[in-house]
Amino acid sequence: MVIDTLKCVGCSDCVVACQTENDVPIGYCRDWITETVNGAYPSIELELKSERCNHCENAPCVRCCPTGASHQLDNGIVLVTGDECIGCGACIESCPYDARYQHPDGYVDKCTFCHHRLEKGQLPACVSVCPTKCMYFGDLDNPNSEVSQLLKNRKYKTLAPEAGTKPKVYYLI
Amino acid sequence: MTTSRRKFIKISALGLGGVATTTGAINMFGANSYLDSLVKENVAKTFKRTPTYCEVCFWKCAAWTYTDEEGSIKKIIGNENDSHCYGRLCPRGTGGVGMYNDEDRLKTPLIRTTVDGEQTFREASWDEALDLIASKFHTIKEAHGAEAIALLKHGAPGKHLEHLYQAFGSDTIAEPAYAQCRGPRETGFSLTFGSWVGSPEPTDIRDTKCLVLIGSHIGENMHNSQVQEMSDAIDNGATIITVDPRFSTAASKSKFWLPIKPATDIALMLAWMHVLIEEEIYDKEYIAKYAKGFNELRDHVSEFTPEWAYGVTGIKPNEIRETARTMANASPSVIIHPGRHVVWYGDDSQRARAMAILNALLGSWGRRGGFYFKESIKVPEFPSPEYPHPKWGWKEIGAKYPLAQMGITTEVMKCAIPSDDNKYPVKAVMVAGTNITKSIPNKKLLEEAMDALDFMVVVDTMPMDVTGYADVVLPECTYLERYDEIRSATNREPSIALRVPAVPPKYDSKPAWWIAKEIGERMGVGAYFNYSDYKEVIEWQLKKMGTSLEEMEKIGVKNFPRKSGSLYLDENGSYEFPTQSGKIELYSNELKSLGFDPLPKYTKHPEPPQGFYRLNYGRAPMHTFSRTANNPNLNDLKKENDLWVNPKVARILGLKTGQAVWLKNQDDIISSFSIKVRVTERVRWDSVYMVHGFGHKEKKLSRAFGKGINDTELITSVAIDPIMGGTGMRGNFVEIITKNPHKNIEI
Repeated sequence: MVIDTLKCVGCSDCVVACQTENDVPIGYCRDWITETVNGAYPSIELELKSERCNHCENAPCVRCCPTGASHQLDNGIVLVTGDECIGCGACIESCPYDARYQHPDGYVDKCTFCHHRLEKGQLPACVSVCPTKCMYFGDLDNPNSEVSQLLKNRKYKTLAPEAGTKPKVYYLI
Repeated sequence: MTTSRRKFIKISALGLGGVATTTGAINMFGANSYLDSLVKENVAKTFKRTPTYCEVCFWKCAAWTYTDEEGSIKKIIGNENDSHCYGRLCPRGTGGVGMYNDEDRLKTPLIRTTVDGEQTFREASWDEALDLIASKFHTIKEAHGAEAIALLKHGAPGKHLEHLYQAFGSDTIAEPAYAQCRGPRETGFSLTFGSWVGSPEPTDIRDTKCLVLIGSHIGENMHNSQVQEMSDAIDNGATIITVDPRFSTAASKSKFWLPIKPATDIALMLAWMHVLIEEEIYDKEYIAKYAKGFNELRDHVSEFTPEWAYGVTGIKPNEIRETARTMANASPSVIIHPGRHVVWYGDDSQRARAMAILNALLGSWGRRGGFYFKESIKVPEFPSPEYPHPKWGWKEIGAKYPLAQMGITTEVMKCAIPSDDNKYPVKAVMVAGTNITKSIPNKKLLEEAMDALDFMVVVDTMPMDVTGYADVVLPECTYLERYDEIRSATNREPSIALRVPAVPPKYDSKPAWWIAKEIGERMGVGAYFNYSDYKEVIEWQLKKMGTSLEEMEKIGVKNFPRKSGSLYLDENGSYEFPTQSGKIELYSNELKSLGFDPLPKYTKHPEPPQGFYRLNYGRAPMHTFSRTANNPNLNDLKKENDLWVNPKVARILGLKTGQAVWLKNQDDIISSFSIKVRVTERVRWDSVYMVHGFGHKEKKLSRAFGKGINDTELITSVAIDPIMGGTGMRGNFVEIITKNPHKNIEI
């Protein structure tokens, strides 16, 4: 996933769309908006961006899961099998992005990149509703995909690179 | 404190001795209805989708409502063929499902009653409530004329009730969307170009090279297609210039942010005109061909140098010149955006004139990347008798504002206050779809007016604050539960959109068309409502337009080819602007003949006294005015507003982020509730900022009650625009109070 911070207005549509698409209970969220302000009036910079699970290549949540509920698919997507999760919370502690939460039904929940929609050839709900079209989703292994092209041609960053998790959500800056 | 007859009743006080007479919901859709068939189909399919257009704000994006097997609404997704949303709703549209699910909704009609000397509401049946309204309206009509019954409205319910009012002979109708919002820009632009800006604004943002936002915060206001097109413009490398004392979201996307001193925008625009003309970089051909009054304009702005404007606005001369040249380089693909909520300082029509004149100098009206020529399709009117002609109405009430083109809410409400020289006595008011205690400033006047009324009705989906002043409260169902007027959009291409109920009305709520018809029949004007279900009206209209309800249910939106010609001016042809002279009027003879300045002038406005800060307010992308504050989905995103305070101010006053403070304005009005401080560099040291629409006083709004401050209650100094009656609201100043001023006082 690639997110263009130059276009994001921080409207939170991605958050509501995820809640309604994935039945995320009100009061919880799988994605959220952060706002960073730098500088002093009148030389200010503002960065707005939508954050979520980074579906890390080197995922600490998968490594630390005692039951195997947290697992990674061949395509890189990190998922939690609710039935196998005992809600121990180790993964929540291990995640440098604070992307996981305890679902009131007793398991740990987080962004799935809307895996159920991908299977039908649809984009994740957040990407499909974003009014600024600042979010892109695709195959990073394919050099010709839109996401690969964006990363080739634009400046970007990832979050908490020092954690060594190899995150798969990229921010264009 | 004297006891008011119209004592504000908290709807939560309901039931104190009240008589529950509610019967079950009447199935107004009949036996073999569309809804029934839907429910059956739902059994077979996982999701059923029905077309609608959104009513969470006024943009009216067309969408699909998805309902599951149990008939509960799961999600709402934008209609891909709709030019208002291009298939993507904003957070409020996506969260529209919360409007339906909100358990705090109004559930039954309510009637004000007195039990043991205490005013309260009791539940009532629809028959009883409607009979009471019809009989009160009838009595007032007999004694004072139908004109004495006024309507304050907003959105889709307003349309049906307006029809009812015109049928029984009242044109005493107004909406805050005019004098509390976009009225001045419509006046300013029609004086210059001969036509309203209208909604959606015909700004060709997607193809622009330069977008200039003056106090308009696209991105925080989620005017959907505008936000989307601004994003396209960013992709296309367009330059954005933002003029705003606050570092808005749009400012953060801008190449140039001009942190202007509040209330000095006209000075900046005069200097821009000066540079464009002095450096001869305005669109000479366009001005020569289409405009009138250039010499007067040139002479007028000759003294308004960037150096002069620097002293007024705080914007450096080189920045004024550089931005003017940037606009000229992009010309004619440049937009000085007219804004939307533009009632600021009382000279707002003149500020809109300055914007219009700049657009003319840059040759942007009728040009690609500037303003396109919008077009809409007329929906045929369902056969109905001719309306009677009222003796007076909104026009007469607002006559002292010569260019008022719609009703002025504050003037209509003033007519409710008895006085010897009041020629237009208003005795009853119906308020529909607008929470006037938060949308209309000067609460004292509003309360005095409401107190003087013989009768007041509120139609709403939620127990908004205004319902507490009503004699009768009618629970309207949400847009997801009703048919409504066909949406005819004014856009690049004409289009229509359909609204069909996705589910039957919850509780004992009813659609506004049904309420209007029922009152109409009881008042003897049933002939104007010659249908049993509004669906019949839509079916008839769609057939006339060459489509059908079946087709529209499948597509939701239908786009029609343009008939009025090109989107832009034909460079080789001639064009007559719909002004008095047929030309763009840089110099306005009309204003001159009415005794107003024919060219915009900068006027110095009051500044905050020592210890006070200018109260600025705006929008948050996930909320619409005060109406969404209790929506469970949207409340989850933002529960309350906060007070933006510059760090310098915070240091002086010892304020910290998260600290609760109260505000007191220049007229000693203290906020009902507290607000949390947010220390941020994004706001100037001479002003504070908050998002509008919070600080609800109705306890029944379980999530929104007491959260944040209602900016409108602090807006008691109102600068009226003498040209069109707009209520300028940005001239209020507040002190920050750190100790609870309400201790020992019951709120």
